[in-house]
Amino acid sequence: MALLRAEWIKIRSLRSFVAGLALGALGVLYCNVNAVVADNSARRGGRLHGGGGVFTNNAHIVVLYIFGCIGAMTVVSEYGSGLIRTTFAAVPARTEVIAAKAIVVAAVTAAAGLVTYVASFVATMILAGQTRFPSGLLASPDFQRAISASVLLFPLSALVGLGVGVVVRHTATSIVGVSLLLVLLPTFVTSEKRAWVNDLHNATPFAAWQQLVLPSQAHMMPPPGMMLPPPPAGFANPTNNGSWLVFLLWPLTALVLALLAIRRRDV
Amino acid sequence: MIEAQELTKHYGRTTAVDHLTFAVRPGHVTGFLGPNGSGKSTTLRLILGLNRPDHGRVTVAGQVFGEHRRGLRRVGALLDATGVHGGRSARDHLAALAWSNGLPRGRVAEVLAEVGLENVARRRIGGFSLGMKQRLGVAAALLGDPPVLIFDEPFNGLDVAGIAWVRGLFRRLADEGRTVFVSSHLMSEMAQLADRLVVIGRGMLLADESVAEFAARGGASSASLEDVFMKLTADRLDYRAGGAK
Repeated sequence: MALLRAEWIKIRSLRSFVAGLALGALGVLYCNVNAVVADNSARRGGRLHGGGGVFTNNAHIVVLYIFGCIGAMTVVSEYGSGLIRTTFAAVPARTEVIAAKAIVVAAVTAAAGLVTYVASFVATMILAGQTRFPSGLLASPDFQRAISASVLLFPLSALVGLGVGVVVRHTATSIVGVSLLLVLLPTFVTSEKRAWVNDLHNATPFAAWQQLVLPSQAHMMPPPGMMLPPPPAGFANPTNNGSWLVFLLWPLTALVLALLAIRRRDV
Repeated sequence: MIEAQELTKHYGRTTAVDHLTFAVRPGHVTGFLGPNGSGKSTTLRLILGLNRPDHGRVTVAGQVFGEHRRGLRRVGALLDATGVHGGRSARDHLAALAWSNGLPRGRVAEVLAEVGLENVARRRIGGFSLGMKQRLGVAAALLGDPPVLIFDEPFNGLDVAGIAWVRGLFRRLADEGRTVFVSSHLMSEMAQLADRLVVIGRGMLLADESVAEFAARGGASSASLEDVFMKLTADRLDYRAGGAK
């Protein structure tokens, strides 16, 4: 617990971190609100009723990139300044330091995600002229799944970023690594000919999030910007369970790699 | 007590530390001397478990330091005064360290007062001079009230008053029975401070003895410690100005 407190002090004492968090959240809010403003049917309440209006594609790309970078910076800033030596001389149990950092980063970014989506929802309700919360929305499994995935995408991105940061240790290279892994890989890795490439695409957090926010019932329209063409016959469609597995395995793998790297390497 | 036995560390084809064997005793200020690039900082990192030796071992109080879960109560270290995040205040920097080792809350204010930074505790470190950062580094080393203290080039950037203060502090820490190990590339800084000297060149041990024994190497002539040091390390220099080698 004391280590968690130490990592919490490190995070909250940096204005740059707090500012990055706030700007990232505002960026997501802007994307979500903008999508609703641009969409007349949402203004009439059609999409909002399904909850789809606040889950926009642009916002999730912002989350992957900005919060991935924020996660990376929490460790890379220590390597860049040389503080990491002071940290590990004070706590030779390096894996405990990284684990504590991961817990704090995950908690802080998850809170940021929750606040961002509550704000998005309130803002879109106001824009759509709704004064009462759509009844039954919170109980809808579609909405529950979509809001959980959207909020969890924040800590997922940050933890993958943290893992990249520990392994790479350099600022610019880490930022490139985060962009490649979280944003560019899923965009490049698509194929209408090879099934395994299609599977690989489905195994990215990018694709997993898109799957998890799709309404299951046909009468609810998918969120704006998410009219994806169906995969060719014989190709695997992403599934909800598979996508949750992706949400679990990505940050887990990043953490395991980070812990393995930190154990034996010279600092 | 710090004990190194056959300590060796390679970086690629370079041998940074080469079969170093020495002991640093409690109750003394021990100077750790060597020319630029002689392996002093690498040796200190090996002591602190930051780097792993390729051969041999080094222990603090009989144990390999890196095997402990928490370090500040065992060894306090100032490795690089600039190794701090400029965006954080002095107090937050020390508070995070104190929490990480479960130290009592009052320690942060105590060490800040000890090094004379209590009035700038809330200011961001980025605005500190090098001398102030050295003081902050000393504060971090003192945080856990450890029996062993390691300082890498602590005089860099300190003004005259600061140097006098640090000398007095190191003396007091040694008189309290602690092990004080201070690296420097300047013999002149050590002459008035150290009781014992460990001298290395190109990663190899050149001397591990008392200052009096070291001075006696100068023979009957009135050679200064500086002269003895220059003579001893003359053929162990990696970087020499003027083209002579």
